Amino acid sequence: MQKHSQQHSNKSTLIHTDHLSLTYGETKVFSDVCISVDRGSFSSIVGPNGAGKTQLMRVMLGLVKPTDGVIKRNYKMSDVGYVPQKLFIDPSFPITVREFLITYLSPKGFWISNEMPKFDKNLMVEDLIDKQVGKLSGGQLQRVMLSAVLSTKPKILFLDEFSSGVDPHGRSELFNQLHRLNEVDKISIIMISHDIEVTSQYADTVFCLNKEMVCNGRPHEVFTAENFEKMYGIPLTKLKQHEHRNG
Amino acid sequence: MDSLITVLSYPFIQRAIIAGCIIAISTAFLSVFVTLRNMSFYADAISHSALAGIAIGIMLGVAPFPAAIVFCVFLGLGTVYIKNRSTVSIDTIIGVLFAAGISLGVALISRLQEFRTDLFTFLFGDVLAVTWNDILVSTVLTIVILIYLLYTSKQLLLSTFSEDFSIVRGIKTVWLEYSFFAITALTIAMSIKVVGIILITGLLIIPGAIGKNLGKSFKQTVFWSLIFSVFSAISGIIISYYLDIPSGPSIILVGASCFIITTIIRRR
Repeated sequence: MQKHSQQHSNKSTLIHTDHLSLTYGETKVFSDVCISVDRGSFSSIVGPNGAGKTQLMRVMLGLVKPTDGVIKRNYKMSDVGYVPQKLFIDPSFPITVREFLITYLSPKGFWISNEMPKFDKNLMVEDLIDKQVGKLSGGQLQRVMLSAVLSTKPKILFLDEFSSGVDPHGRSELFNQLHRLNEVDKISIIMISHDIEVTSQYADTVFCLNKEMVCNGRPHEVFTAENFEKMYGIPLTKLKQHEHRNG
Repeated sequence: MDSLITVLSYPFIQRAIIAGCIIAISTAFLSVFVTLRNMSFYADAISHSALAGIAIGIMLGVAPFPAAIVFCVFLGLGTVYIKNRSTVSIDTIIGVLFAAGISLGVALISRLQEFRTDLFTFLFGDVLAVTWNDILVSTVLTIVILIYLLYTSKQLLLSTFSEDFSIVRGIKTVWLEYSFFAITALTIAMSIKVVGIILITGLLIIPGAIGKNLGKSFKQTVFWSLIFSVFSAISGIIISYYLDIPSGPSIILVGASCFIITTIIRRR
């Protein structure tokens, strides 16, 4: 299996997995996942709740060891920027955006300096700099998180349900920024998303997961009625009705 | 009634105020993280278990407070060790250790006849009885605690927000968790002489809570926490002298009053 994995890994491949499985005790999280993520790509992992998407991303990041299979990573941890699904910030805890950005940029070393990191002007966080992180809206927090992560000049971004809790306008702005980072700055992006529309619009590669790999390829190739039924267990027409009802 | 100047000229009051301020500085800084990480139950468990450490020290013929420090630090490290090797929640583990620690303490005390007269001192503290040697030890430990907190404060903040987030950023979260639990246990054991086993949790929660009420940033939170912690220690000791009450409860009552006042001010 190791040999097989190395044959498929080359410089243009960022991550290659071979029959990757993860179980917690008796519970299967996902199994037999074989994927290749290309350098410079904008990849999206889609699937229903409980499909194993976040855990697959954690394995990709090296935060969890797989139970079985091989994963080959052609990147250094210092090249990674990661925005988790959720931050546990007590809304009443007064840490400012400035302190948060400084803390993220240089987490080691004594105390919090006053030196501000250089951040991406396009993300418009200047106005938020003295606001408290716990009091930001969903979209503002994601912009701050992205600014923090980009301040370390990553080559790969891992984004776990990046746009959840963000209104449609804010979501559109965020994904335009991601598109720019991918196209102009050549940052590879791997994101988890429930949003099929956004994935179709921005991602160039899609991995459909539901405990195991259902399909992968370009969005227009994989987003078929058959694949949707395999992934979500219900016909596409019912899925659309459900999405429509839930806005 | 003695004037304030006269009271402050008494050597035992001077020692008490110096010791109280030293302990107040370390507990204030730590309390910001204890409140942020919701660790008040852990602080309670460690402080109550310190009784067993004190009793073990007396049984072995060594000084009770250093014995309590060693016992509490090992208990803190043990809590993290079990947590990392179990699927049981941290609250359950702390609950078990809490019950076991205090039970062991009471069981050992029941075997020590001469110890019972000192029980009140251990439970509620006696800062008026501190010696220069106690102050020297507290000063050294406080310097260690402050250096640790200044060095790890950013790592502690990030790891509180998300463990995965901080691991990706290169923080060794396992080491951080062990060291933070050990430092908290060390601070608790060191502070027993000032406010006692029962009330030490107050020193680890009240300053941080006041800091949260008044601060508009992390730095301000630490600043206000330090100011009110030291103020509570000094005024609590002086009030305890005038009212002839134990100094530990007096310090906590001053701190609690400040918390209530700052909460009301904040609401406005």
